[in-house]
Amino acid sequence: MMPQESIELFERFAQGLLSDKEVLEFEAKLSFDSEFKSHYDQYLALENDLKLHFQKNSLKKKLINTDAIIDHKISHSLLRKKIYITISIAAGIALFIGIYQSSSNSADNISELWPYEEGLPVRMGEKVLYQTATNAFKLGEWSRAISLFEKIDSDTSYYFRAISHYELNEFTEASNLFLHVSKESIYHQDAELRLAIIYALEGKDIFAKNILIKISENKQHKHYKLALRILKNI
Amino acid sequence: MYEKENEIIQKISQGMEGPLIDIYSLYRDEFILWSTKHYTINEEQSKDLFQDAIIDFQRNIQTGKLKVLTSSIKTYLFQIAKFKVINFIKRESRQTYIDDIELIKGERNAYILEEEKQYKLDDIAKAISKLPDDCQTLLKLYYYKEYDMSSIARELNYKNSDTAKAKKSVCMKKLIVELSKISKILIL
Repeated sequence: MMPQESIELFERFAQGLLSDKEVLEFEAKLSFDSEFKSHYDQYLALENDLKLHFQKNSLKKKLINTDAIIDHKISHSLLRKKIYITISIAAGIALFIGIYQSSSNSADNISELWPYEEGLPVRMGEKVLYQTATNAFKLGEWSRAISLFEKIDSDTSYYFRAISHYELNEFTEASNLFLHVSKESIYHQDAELRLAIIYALEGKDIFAKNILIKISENKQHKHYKLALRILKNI
Repeated sequence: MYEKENEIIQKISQGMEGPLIDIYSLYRDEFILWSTKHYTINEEQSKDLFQDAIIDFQRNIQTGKLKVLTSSIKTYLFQIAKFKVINFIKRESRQTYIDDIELIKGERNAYILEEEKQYKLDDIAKAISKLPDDCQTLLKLYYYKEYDMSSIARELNYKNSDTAKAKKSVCMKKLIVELSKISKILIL
């Protein structure tokens, strides 16, 4: 245990309360008394740790407050979601009755049939470039995602670049890239369907129909039902 | 490549806390999802550990250990936070987790030392909490706000700066007594 008189002396030294003679004695003791020196080092370390402790505490409190704000927003948005879901269900029922009664052939908006692409999971330890690109994609930073994926030559890169271009309404670039996704790729079927949607949106109905008919005839195709649905709308 | 992120580091090194709060808000939920899926921790523990990672991130920048990033902030933070989770689990002795961990620049050993320092800071936190309120305030004003003794005397209604100095000396003695009761590492 550090002696109380040493603590007193360290404090007085730090506060500049020692006389010139006492300072000299203090410094001399530091050089020949190893135990005293060790206590002084511990005292200085403690001062440094105190600074760290208070700094840490201050930031921690701010982060806890941030938690409260984020969690409040989430619970608020969940409540709003519940309200929206209720309204949506009611609206959906009304719409269904309306459609049924009028037997109208109102078409789905084709662009609304564009499947949501969540992106691949980002895993720690994967190549930094790939990970950063996937991150940008997930964050909806389309231009950044494109420029990052451009540095990777793979079917996956073509596919995600194509979607990013689509999100930026750059249909020509998007369709060119979807055409590059090879048949061996796990994204090939997705690319086919998305390409058809883009053609339909661009008014290239013949191209769109050709692809969609091909998809709808293949019941093994993951999008064959959706292809049929889009075909009805073209 | 990480110009934007290094700009953020610059701001944090100048003492700004705003970017840290923004980073926390941006990645908190993703970290909670990831950590609670891969480790046996709950949401509250995950939040707490991610906060500690943010604090370490700040400290690494302010002590000059981290000057330029060679990965994204998210990658760097998640690596720190992952270590926090593993050490937390070890500390709680819930499971023995063997993982092939590769900390940025291979600073694993240095990081374990940092974790030991964390124990020390926890002891300091406990010891401070045992002090009377006026001592806690005084030490905070002196070490965190960096007030001089005259300002402390004014703030705490002491007669003058000499009274504040004497009071600080008393508080430090009390703190060291408390620490010696608690601490296993800091042998004072």
